[in-house]
Amino acid sequence: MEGITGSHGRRNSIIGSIMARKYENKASAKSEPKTVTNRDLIHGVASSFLEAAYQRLRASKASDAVTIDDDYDQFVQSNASDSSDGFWKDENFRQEYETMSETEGPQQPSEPIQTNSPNEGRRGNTAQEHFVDILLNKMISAILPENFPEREHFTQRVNDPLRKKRQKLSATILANNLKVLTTKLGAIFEFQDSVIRLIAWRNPSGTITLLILVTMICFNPMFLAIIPMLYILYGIMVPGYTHRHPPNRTAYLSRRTYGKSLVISLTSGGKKASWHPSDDIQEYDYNLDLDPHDIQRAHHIKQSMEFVVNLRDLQNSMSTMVSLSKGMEKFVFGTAGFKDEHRSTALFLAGLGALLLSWLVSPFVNWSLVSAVGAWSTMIAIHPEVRSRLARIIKQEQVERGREALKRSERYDIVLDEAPEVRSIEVFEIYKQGLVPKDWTFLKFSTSVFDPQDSFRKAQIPPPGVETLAQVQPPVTWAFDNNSDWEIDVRANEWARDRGLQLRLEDEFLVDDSFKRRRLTRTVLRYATPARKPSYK
Amino acid sequence: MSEKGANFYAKLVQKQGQKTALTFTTAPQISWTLHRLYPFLLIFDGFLNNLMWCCDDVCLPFIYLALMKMAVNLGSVSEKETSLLKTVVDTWLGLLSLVFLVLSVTYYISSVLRELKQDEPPTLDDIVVMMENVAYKIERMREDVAEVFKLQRGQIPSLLIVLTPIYWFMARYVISPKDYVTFLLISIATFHSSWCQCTLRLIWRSLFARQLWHMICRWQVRPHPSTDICYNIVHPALEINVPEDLASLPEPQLAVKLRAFIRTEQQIEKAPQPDRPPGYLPITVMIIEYQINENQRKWPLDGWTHNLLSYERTKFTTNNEEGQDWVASTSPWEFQETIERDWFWLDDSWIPHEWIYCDTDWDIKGAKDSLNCYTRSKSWTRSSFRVLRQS
Repeated sequence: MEGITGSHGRRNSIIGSIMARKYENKASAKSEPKTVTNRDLIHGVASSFLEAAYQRLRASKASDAVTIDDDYDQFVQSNASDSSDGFWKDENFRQEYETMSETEGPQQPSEPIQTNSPNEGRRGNTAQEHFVDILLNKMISAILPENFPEREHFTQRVNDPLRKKRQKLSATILANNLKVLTTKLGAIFEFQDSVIRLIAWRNPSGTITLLILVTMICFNPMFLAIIPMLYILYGIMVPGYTHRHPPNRTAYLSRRTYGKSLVISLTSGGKKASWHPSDDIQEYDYNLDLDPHDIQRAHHIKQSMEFVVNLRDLQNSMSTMVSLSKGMEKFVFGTAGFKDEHRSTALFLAGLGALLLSWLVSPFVNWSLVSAVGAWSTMIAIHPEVRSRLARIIKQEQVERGREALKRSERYDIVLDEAPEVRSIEVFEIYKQGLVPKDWTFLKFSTSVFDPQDSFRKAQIPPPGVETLAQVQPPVTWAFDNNSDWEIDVRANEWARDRGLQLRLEDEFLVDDSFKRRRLTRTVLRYATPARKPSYK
Repeated sequence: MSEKGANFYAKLVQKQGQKTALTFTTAPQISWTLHRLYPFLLIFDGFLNNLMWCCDDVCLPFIYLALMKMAVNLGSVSEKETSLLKTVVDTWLGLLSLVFLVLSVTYYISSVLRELKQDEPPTLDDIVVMMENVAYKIERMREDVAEVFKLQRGQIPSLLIVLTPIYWFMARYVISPKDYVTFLLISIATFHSSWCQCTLRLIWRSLFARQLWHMICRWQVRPHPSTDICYNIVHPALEINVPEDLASLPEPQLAVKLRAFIRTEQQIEKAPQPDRPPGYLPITVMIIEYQINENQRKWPLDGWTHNLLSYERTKFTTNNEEGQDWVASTSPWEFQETIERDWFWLDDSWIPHEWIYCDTDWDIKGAKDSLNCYTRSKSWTRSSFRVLRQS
């Protein structure tokens, strides 16, 4: 314990001194027109945040009207200070930490000396700088954009009363939280591993225990509340007690355990891995001769290693999260988004059927029994041995045939014959006047009317368009109705009026001083609008 | 580090685990017997491990417990209300569990025997270590039970008297025989587990639980603080020579004068008795010494205070001659006012003695406060006398 607090405390102080140093840099950078690195800026901003937070804390204390948010902030603040040293002191072993502080005593005066002479202090600190800090600093610099907001801008926003409520985004806090979390995440990853071991039957007795507990929950849901409490009492608190007051249930560790359990022999699904580290077994400490300093160093190394391992696990689990979110996305925008209409329709109908069926049947089913039997049979089915045997029984061909039948039923039992959306499209066939009034030469098929007010006309460039009708494409996502052809709109006055064009009519043509055009329409069809897409795609 | 006068720490005694080899010093017959005993020891150790939940895999005892609980269902008498299907399923599961239990016990035993055969034969030391292990575990279990039944002989009848009606009521109206057997089974199977023991110990930390326990199991009629203070007779009849004119005084005045004579008499008691000088008359007095104990308990936050537990000694107690170890009493200063008329104080005031430090059960540990001392008591004594015969 002492080792952890010692190292932790020192690390904190390192961060503190680095921050102080960088803040100093910031101050000097202000006076001189010198370029400031992102990292320095971040630390400067972070310290100003801290100051702001402290001011807020004091203000809220003075006003005595504490909102929940403030309270939480206070908790966070005070928690950070709590975790430093005092908490780990043990009331029963006063002498222990008193002597510890005595031995650490001579080190403490050296720190102020270092800060008195900044250059020396910096050198000392960089020598001490933990590789984790370096790593995190690199990470911060990688995260940050190049054009980070100016400090003045930031402080202005900090003082904005509306923004005071929430905790600000700060890369340092983020990185710090990440760092703290990573050291504590070991338990979570261990839990994750143990869950995997349980599911894979690598800890068969644990799996069976879990199944028994699940069965108990199924038949009496009250256990859902009881078991977590039991876990807190007997999984966390009693081991804590047995750690402090060891019950010493065994005299010697036996050299070799004889005998096997039928349960385990029957159900073992892989390499055995013990689940509970037990405090009952008294271990002899053979390393009593070691120097406590060495032990502390070893502990420190172990901590760092654990940190790296945890960081790797965190990275992996984040990758898992990313792939999981990708899968979710695929479902939401693909299967559930009617991208493949056959599949989605089949899925919806199956879901609807299941829903209705379960609704109707549910009063007549003993759900406790069903869920218990379901849990047991699922777990038994995924047992490695049983799974391979099941796989042998259920032949691959059968699966293939089933899949084929499913596909066929998707293909032929789902009838996709909704009437498509019908719209018309238009193009204008534009002619240019030649030298003689009656001499018109074909210019283009265009979407633009190319009237005297037209921007292209004013810019004296031909409108966008194509030479032949065959080159005209339907709008994106639309298709031409193959049974319709381009039709000349003979009622030119209508579309001219619709556009507010006061021009001369000549048959189906709308004529102005140098151009005439007629409107061609054609029907286009669309079966469905394109499937939804996430906003960032 | 060590040069700077840092603290020097002693080391704990550790069992090094090395012993003189027993192979050549043991008689072959004993070795042979022990060797034959070894499988039984292993199996018994496995059984104890399960009972104490201290095996490598704590899930196994739980699974066995669940199986046993299901097997208990087998013995239940089918009631008329329950459906046939439920009875059939219960019976089937119970039978299955029972068979599985029996099978796993046989499997365990046979696997132990098989592995022993395959493995190289155990050394004598292995066997002895295993024996010690088994003995250690049995001793632990005995301690667990002894903690609970730390009753004195007189308390068992009272326990029976209190518990029998409750028990009868419970068995008659509250729980069915099946539930009772299940409860008994679970409590026996879990009692020796370390976490059950820890729970008991943690419960024992609560004052309320202790009071309840004493109310049920150790209830005793404690008399109210009495004025009958225990006393030691210092001198049943001490003869003192006083001047004649003094001897003729009435008793109260005589007593005041007599005090000085008694004190000198006590001082020279050990010396050979001088002859009575002329003009002196003998007066016989009886001297007794009252003793009142002041009791205190150590509280982690407040230190030594008179705040004692409600069932243990009170602030002032006196020894009792009738079996009981203590009787509550009034304070010495209260008591000194109630002394009878023909008794006179010999000492001017109560004489305090040194504190005697005891553990939490008032077993004496010594004269100095230590980590295992939670209570202490100090006796106040004062002698008084009574004129027996005036000649």
